[in-house]
Amino acid sequence: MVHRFHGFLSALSARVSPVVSVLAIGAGVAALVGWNWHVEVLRRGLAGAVSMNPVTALLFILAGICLALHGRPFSGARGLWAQGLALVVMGVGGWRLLAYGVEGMGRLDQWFFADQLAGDLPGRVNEMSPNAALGFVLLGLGLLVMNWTTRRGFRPTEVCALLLNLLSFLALLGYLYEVPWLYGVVTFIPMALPTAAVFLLLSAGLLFARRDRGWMRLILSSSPGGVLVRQLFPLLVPALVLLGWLRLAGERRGLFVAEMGTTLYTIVAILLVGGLIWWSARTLHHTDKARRQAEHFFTLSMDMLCIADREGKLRRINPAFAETLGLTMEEMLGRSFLEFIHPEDREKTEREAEQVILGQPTRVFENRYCCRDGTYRWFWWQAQFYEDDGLIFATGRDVTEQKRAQREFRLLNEALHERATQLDASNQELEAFSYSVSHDLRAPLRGISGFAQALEERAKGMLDETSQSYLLRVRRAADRMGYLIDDLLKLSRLTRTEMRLEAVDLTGQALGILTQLKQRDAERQVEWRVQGGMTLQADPALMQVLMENLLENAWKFTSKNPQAQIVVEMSVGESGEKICHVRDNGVGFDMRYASKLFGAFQRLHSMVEFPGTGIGLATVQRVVRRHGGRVWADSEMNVGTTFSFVV
Amino acid sequence: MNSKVILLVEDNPDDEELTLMALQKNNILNEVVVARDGVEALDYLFGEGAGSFPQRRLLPTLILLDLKLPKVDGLEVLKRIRSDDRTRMLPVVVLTSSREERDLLESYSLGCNSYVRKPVDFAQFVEATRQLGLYWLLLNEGPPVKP
Repeated sequence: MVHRFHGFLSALSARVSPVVSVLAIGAGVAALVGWNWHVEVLRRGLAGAVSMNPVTALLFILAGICLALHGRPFSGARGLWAQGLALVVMGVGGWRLLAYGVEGMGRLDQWFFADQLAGDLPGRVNEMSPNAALGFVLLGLGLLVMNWTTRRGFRPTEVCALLLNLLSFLALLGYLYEVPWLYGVVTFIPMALPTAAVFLLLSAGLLFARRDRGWMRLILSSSPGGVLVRQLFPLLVPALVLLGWLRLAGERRGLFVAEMGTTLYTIVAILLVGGLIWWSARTLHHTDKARRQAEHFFTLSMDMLCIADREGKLRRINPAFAETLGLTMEEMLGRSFLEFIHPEDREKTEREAEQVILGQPTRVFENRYCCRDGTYRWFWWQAQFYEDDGLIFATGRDVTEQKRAQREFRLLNEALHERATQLDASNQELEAFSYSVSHDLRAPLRGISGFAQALEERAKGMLDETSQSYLLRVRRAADRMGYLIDDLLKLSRLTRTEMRLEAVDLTGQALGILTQLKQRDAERQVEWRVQGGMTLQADPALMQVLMENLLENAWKFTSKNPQAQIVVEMSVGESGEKICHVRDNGVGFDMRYASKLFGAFQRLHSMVEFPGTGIGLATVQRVVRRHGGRVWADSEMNVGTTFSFVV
Repeated sequence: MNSKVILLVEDNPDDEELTLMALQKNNILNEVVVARDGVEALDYLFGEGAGSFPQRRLLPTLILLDLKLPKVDGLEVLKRIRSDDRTRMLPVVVLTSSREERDLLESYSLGCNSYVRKPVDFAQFVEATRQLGLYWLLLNEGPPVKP
């Protein structure tokens, strides 16, 4: 709402100066037309009143053009024209003013229509009045110094406009209250009514031509000050003018005597002005209350808040800022914020501040501030420069902890990376190791086994039975060691392969393995039952290895049972996970040793009874662990064993 | 007397002896030339008689190649055999202890004709040798020899 109103106000105020220049030119032209073709109303405005002097009309036309030129962006030629016209207006006015005091100077205002000027009013020659001449001096000067603002913000144009305004207002009041000496001067050369009106307009035009500076900026601003000015003046001025007129009219008609008039006037004026003052005080009080309430956030804020001028001097800061740095507000205020910044960050902060002052869009800016105890803290800043106040407003956030966490995170990451590299290296070593094991250890075994056999054949009949059986044992031992090495290698290969998770058809795998076992071992009578439709999210190749080991175990350890049974099924655990079970009714094992079950080369049965390397269950456990699952066993001697796993 | 020469590339004297024994056991009576490392093997195949082999020699009918060799390893030898026009067609059997996947892959991608892992058990080894000899020396029709 406020914004919309402000937009409207801004659009309206932008038109004042152009409209005024058109009206001034129009009034000047109209007066000249009135002189030329004897249209009285155009040059007098009021029957029986003095006419606008033709030179005055001409100067108004020039001033109007000059004002119009000022309303555009300034270019060299246009600027020169405007300055020239302003000088002409000022010069003619000044000359005429001097001519009143100095004998023998040319009067300038009798150039045109001289024959008519003499008979403008009975018994008097039409001239440019001294106050009109002064008006032109002020107007010309105001137009000339239009773009000049002193360093402290003072604009001479505004003073010229104000004086011109008073001058013309005085004349207008004179016409309104019928007090001739108000619009004339000592020698009673009156200012014409249209002249006064145009001067009043032009004084407004002078102000509005640069509405973004000085007084006009305050008047048109959305601050409480601007609002008050805009509301009070349009009310107060007409009201007081009307009041004066009523008093005069009352006295002149004999309704009351002058003392009474003055008393009434004073009382009403006091009531009026007092009421307005009271009303504006209330308005100010409310806006100030809202402002003070907003101020509370300034002290409450946990982020840093600061206001600095163009030079970087801290004008205001909030307590949090000082507390964070371990300083007091007094120590900080009035000093440049650069003094508190880490030396390494000073230059970039200065650059950033310059950009902000130039109106760059704010973005997150990071720097370090130094605390009393010599430590540094990281801040993130967002800043904006407000031209109206000429100040930088900034809010900062202490991100020291985040930075620290970030740094730790990075260090951890690096450490992790290093560990991964080491792990990679040791994996490669392991790879090389298992490669050479597979190659180098098996070669001597071949030698042992091969030459034992060769010896056996060559020495047939020469060796006694015991010696022969020894040689046989040598060969068996070597063969067995070969199997062990192979199994170990398989185990290490398991942990080295890439994992690839997909839906594994466990039912199909189990049935396939059992069928193969049956083919290999046709004379065994084994009954099996595999639950249909079992699937798992896992690596298919690893699951195959796992199921092979579990089912081969079940197959092996039920070999003593004529009614061997193997069951593969799935159940759902407490937290909804799938648990697979492989049950058999084999020899079982003693649960006291369950903890040793999954170790490599651990065997709970004799070689003779159940041959094997003891790698099978270690392999199973490794597969399960690679999937991040677990495996366990329940068993009862001579009743059976159930292996269960979750992946 | 069989004129087909077998080139055995093997650095381990035990394995060399066992291979020879296994060939004998299977009545494979071809001449067996033994190279004890990759350099010797290349010297036999491509050398100018500067090495330990005489100037005039027959190209082998079959090469039994171990992978782990001193100086120049088996895979390098295989690469050289396959990149030379004279030996490109020769049957090469890789005979090794290793069953590492990458060795298998490398050997096949370099164009070996078969890959046999030497079993620890001698009886099995003899059997494997018998099958090799039977296939490569009797059944398989070798490439035409260029005059």
